[in-house]
Amino acid sequence: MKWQIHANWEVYDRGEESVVLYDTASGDTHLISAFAYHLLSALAARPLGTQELVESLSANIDNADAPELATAVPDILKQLAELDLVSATD
Amino acid sequence: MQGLLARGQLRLRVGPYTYSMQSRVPLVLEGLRTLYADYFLAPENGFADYGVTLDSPGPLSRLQRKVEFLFDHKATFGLVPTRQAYAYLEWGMNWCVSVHANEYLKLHAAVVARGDRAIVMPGVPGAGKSTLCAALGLSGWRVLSDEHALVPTESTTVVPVCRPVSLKNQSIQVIRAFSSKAVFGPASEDTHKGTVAHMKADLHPDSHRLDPLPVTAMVFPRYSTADKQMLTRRSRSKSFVLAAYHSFNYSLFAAAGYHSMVNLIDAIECYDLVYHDLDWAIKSVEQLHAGQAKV
Repeated sequence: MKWQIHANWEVYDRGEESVVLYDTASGDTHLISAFAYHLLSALAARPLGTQELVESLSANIDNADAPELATAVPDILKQLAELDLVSATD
Repeated sequence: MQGLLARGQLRLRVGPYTYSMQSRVPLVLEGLRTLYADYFLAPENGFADYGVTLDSPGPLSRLQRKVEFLFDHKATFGLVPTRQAYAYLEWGMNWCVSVHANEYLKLHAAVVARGDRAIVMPGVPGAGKSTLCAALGLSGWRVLSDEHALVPTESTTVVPVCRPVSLKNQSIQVIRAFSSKAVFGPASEDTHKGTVAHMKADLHPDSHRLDPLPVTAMVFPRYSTADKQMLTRRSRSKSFVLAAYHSFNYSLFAAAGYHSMVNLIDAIECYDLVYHDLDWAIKSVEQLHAGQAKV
């Protein structure tokens, strides 16, 4: 199973811990973490599986943080799916 | 005024809007005479943006001491006790702008100004923004609005729409004690918000000027006796979303609303203000307006 973005958006990113995402299709406005936006940006390039996402993000962090990443990514993907920003695809 | 009001010929100018007013309720006349004494009137029977009536619909409701608010001759909120008439007039006038005025991006916020720069103070009911707005108005600040920040789309200005400040319950006594200059209209008791009274807000010489003012800051006030008083910076992204939450029509504007909010938030500084002492809060607002806030 891979994840893909499900929306087009405009983003208000001022280098803070959170960003504002405006879904241009639904008109919804979301406040998401900068990390969640990082995930969305990775998926915007191409659909990725959960493990692929974890591995691509792990390249930029310490090994000690890797287990936390492996837990956080699925949780955030679930939240983004509930916001209809991403969807799972075969 | 009494005759004009009774005949529905009173045309009250409030910021960019004109209200056509009609009422035979003595409390309404008393409130208007007290709180709108210095407002400009538009020509009798002239164009009005909003037609409001606060009256008893018939002899039975008069006997029952009930009145109703009509917008363009249509009943809007149902019958209410006559002794609460003045509160419902002001709420009705707010409702007119909240629901209909979509030529501006509208935030549910108080707006005050010193000199030629304004501060927008969004907040949920009960947060303490009106109490702070009233105190600032009594301390030499200009009150642009107690209820609506009207932002022309894609601009970073706000349009004045000054009306009396609505205060509730304990806040009424707080402001009476704060300054003997506070002038109040008739109080309405036992409303769904408790006791409500309105303070005359056009105390500044420029109160009735219509030119938009640039916004310099957004402050989210919160009255609290439990928390330490503090003024802290608020992130732009969180301020963006909270301001949109406090908007009457951000979603209606769709992408234009998003872009308007981007423009506005990028142009200003955003703060949280937790207070329980009005003098401290006023000093904090003055310092941040002067660019001297210690945050």
